[in-house]
Amino acid sequence: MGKRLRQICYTKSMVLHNWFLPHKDTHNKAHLISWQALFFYVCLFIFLQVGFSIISYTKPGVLGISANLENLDQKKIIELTNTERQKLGLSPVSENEELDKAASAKADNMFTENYWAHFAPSGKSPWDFILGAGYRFTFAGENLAKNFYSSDDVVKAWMNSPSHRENLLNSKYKDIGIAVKMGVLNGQNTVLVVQEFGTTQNIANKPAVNVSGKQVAVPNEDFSKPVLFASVSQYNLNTKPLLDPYLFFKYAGISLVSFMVLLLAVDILVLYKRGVLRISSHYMAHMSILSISAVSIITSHQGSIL
Amino acid sequence: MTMKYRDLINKGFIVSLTLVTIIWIWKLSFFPILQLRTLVIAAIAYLVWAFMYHYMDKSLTLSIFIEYLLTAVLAIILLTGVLLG
Repeated sequence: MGKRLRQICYTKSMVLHNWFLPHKDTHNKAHLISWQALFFYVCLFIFLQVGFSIISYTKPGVLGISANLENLDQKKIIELTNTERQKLGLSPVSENEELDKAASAKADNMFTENYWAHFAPSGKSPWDFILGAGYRFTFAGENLAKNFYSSDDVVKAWMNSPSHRENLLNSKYKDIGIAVKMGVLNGQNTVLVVQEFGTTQNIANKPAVNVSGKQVAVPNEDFSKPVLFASVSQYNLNTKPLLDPYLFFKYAGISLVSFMVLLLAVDILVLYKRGVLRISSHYMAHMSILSISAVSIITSHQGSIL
Repeated sequence: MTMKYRDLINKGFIVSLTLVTIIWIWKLSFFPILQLRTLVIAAIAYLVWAFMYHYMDKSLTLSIFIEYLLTAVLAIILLTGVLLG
């Protein structure tokens, strides 16, 4: 009886052993890094992504960013913008009430029409919002940011992008308007930051708006359009989403990649101890793609700019 | 080409691909779509390298190639989840 029990225990421990360590006779990889396990991980993550998309579609606002809007301050963004401008000896921009309204209207419109772009699906352009708020510019520009946790990160992201940086450091601008809004975009809780720049001073060229690094000439007839935004709806949500998909996938991804790297390292070590290891490019290639994957997950930011 | 020389080229290629991709991905940290594109390109390079390496090594089997393919797909799926939620 005891012998039988010992046999069962040994068999069970060997079965468990094979999940984490290479097979003692065939030296095959641990089950958890076999191609069957990889297939399971791929299916699991596809299932989770599809599941989250379904939840976002059926229950808008349940998922999304849970940023604290106190860390995304309008005044702080203006202050940081001016700090960057002054570093280059440029004159600071002053907060303009009309541009604030334009930025606010733009953010609300992105939530209403459910888009993340400079131009709305309905055809509204950045200057429609600026002119609609009553700011008669000769030159203007727009920077957008989505899902950042702090004002510093927003300005840092814009400064890291040549086209946004050019907009932020344009010497023509005299005024600035900022809006920070939280709402539901594509079914998920989203924080939007809209930055509008402008000047009403006479400049030689025709009125233009700097969008994504390109100067777009504004047709004269657009200046005679009626004011578009008599009322602005409020989109600042007070409810916190249940889960942030970004953080969920970030931690799950890092955990899985670390686990796989650990099992590969154990595999190498065990085979080395058994004297059957040849450090081949095969192992290096797997380690390479896994480390690239880990770095891409770690360095990716939830926030994006446009 | 000697075995040793071929092995050196293989290892050199992998180390270079890893370093260049990691630096590029780090530089694109605020541009999710470009980051994803870079990873896809690296994954394709990894697959092409795997095919060539095992073909020349005469060790190319379906299960080995599937293992590479699934590792590459997993790397892309993990980043897609983080970027697109």
